[in-house]
Formats: sequence, C-alpha cells, structure tokens
Amino acid sequence: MVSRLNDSKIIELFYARSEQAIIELSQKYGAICTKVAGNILNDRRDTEECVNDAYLGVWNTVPPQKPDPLPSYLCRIVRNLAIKKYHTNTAAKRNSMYDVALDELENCFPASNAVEDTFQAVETARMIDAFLETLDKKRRILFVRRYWYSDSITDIAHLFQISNHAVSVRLARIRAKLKKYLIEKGVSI
Amino acid sequence: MKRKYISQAIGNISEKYVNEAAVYTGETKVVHRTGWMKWGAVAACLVLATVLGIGVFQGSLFSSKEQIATLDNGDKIYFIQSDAGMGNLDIAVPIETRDLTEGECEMLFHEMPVAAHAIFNAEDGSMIGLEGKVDDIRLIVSASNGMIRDTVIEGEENISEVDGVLVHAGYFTNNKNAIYYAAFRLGESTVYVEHAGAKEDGETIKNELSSIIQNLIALGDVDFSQILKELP
Repeated sequence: MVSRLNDSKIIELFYARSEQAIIELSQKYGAICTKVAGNILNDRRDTEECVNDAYLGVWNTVPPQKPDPLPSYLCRIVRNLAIKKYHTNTAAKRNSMYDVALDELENCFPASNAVEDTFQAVETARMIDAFLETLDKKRRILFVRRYWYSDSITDIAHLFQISNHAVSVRLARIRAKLKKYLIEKGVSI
Repeated sequence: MKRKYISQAIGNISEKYVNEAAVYTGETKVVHRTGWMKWGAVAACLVLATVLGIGVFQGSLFSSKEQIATLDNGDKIYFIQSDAGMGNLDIAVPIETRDLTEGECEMLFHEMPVAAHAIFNAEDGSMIGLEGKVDDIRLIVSASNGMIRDTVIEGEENISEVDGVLVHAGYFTNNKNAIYYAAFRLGESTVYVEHAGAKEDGETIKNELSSIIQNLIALGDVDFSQILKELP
C-alpha cells in the first residue's frame, strides 16, 4: 500500500514553495479531482486541463490560505473551474453527468425570475445545508456525491454496494424531502 | 438560468459536507457466518418469531433444502423449504378499507409498481396496514408492531441480511406450484411478501421476489403518517 503525506504536510510543502507539493497533491487527490471535472466536462483533455489549473489555483492561494479540510477546498476549485469551462464550451452540451444531475434537481427549486441572483443562491445553499443536517450520514453523502460531485448512479451504487435501482429510489426520496423542506421554508416551487 | 442557480446553490453547500463525501470510501460489509453468529441468528429469529406470533419452527432450521438468491449487491437471501401452508389475513377488530391513490402509492413506494388498499381500524380510524401487490407479488405491510396475518410464516426459516435488514424467508411447493415468501422489519412496520407460480418457474419467482425485497428495503422506513382513513 502506498503511503501518502497527510494534508498538513502537503500544506507545509506549499508554504515552503516546493514543487513536491503539487506532486503530493496530485498523487493523493488526483483521482477525485479527475472524477469531479470529468463528470462535468465529459471530455478527457478538458478534464486534464481543468485539474492542472486547479493545482495551480491551490499553488497561487496557499499561502496565504491554509485550507482545512484540504480535499473539499481542492475539489471546490476543480468544480468551479470545470463549470466555468463547461459554460464556455459551445459543443457537447447537456450530455454529462453534471447535466443529468441538474435535470434531476430542477423540479426541487423555485422558478422565480430572480433565480439568477447569486446572493439568493447562497441563501438557498444555507437551506440545503440545514436540510442535509436532517439526513443520516449515508443519505447525505449519497446526495452530495450525486449533486455536488455529479457522480453517476453506477459509481454511487458501487461506492455504497447497493443496486443502481436502490440508488435511484433513495435519491428520489431525498429529492422529494428536499422539495418539501424548501416549500416549508417558504421557497416557492 | 434556473440550472445555473441550482448549480450555484449546490456548489455553495458547506465545506464539511463536501469533505465528508470526498473522503468517504464506502463500507465493507463482512458477514461471518461463524458458529456463534448462527446461534445469534437463531436467537434473533426466535425473538422475531415471538414478536410476530409466528408458529413453532419445525424440523432443522439449517435445512439442506435451502435455496439462495444472490442479490446484485452481494447480499444473499436464504429461502428454506417448508411443508406449511400460508395463513390468511386475520384482524381481530372491525375494519374499513379503501384503495390507496396513485399519489399515496408513489409517496410510499416511489417508482415501484404497487397497487394496494389501506386497512383502518373502523373504531378509531387508525391505520392497521395495507395489503396489495407489487406487480404479481403479494404485499402486506403492518403500520406498527404486530402483524395483520394470523400466520406470517409457518414452517422453517433461515435468517438473511439485506442492506443491514434481517429477512426471514422460506418457500414451499406442491405438485404444480411453488410459493416463496419473506418477512422483514422496516422501522415500525413489518413487511410480508409472497410470490407464487408454476413449480418449473421457481428460480424466476425466487429471483423476482428477492429483487422486490431488496427494493423495498432500499426505500427505508415506511411512513404511514400521511395516509388517512378519509381521503383528503
């Protein structure tokens, strides 16, 4: 089994401006970064580029930042870069895991005219946080893997060692709960 | 624009949830069927039998006449051959029934093709349970502890574990037909399923029933709180 540096050691390497930091980061989190970007972009070259840009993003922000936890910090950079690239790409739209996951969620959210408001999106994120708090750990991870990481149903089924159908049914149930929760919180659907 | 908003909202959820999902590597389910586990299983089986009012076990619990269905997640359901016949609904209080609406079925069972009627205590209006079908498979669900069959499973059983839920399953045959059945708990409810057909189709019947068991368990606890005697 390959031993990996713990996250605080990797951060120390970034602070020391050692290029080994990128190597360690890539060895430890390359797989999940590639998955996050790949699920959104559905293109190998774009995915590689996006992941490399994310490593550079960490290099440019650490220091002064000292991310803890590191994996979510890195994955968030990857996701943001991938979504940005997704929107600038003109071809191959609406065929990625990201699209499918968004399709599933669309019915849970309001159709108001002001939905483009970033502030409102952040407010909604806090509501989703509160909703996630009501779920047990497994269901919460299931939801986040599907809708934040845009993982495929098959990948999630493999992760949880359950059938694809079981994943779909559980997700449908969680979405129904989320919709009900958002309505109760006054979000118009 | 709505999709961008949804993406932004999801993208802004708390770090702790993003990280929790990032580091999750799955769970390895190891079921050792060692001696003490078997006795533990027997004990658990007997406890459930007592709670459910099941009849006495007959013959060897770990009979060689055992049929196994392996689910796609690797779990196995052990069906033990039985000589016993099945019981019928036996409810000691006056009841009223009504068909569940499509919306109610969807709320309870999501995409599963369930058609069922709800059974209520006529005196106080409380829900006793439901009886219906998932495709051709008979389904009975009690609303709380206690079972609405007089004899849930008569004969021999073995204990299986599906997605962490204990399942008691068996089958019996006559000259022409095979009947497979199983019971398990989902939260407060007890679920009973039964599938019958021609003897030569036994393998298919067993596998179809096993798949339904897995799907029902995947739904999690059954919530009857929204099912009222009078339609809203």
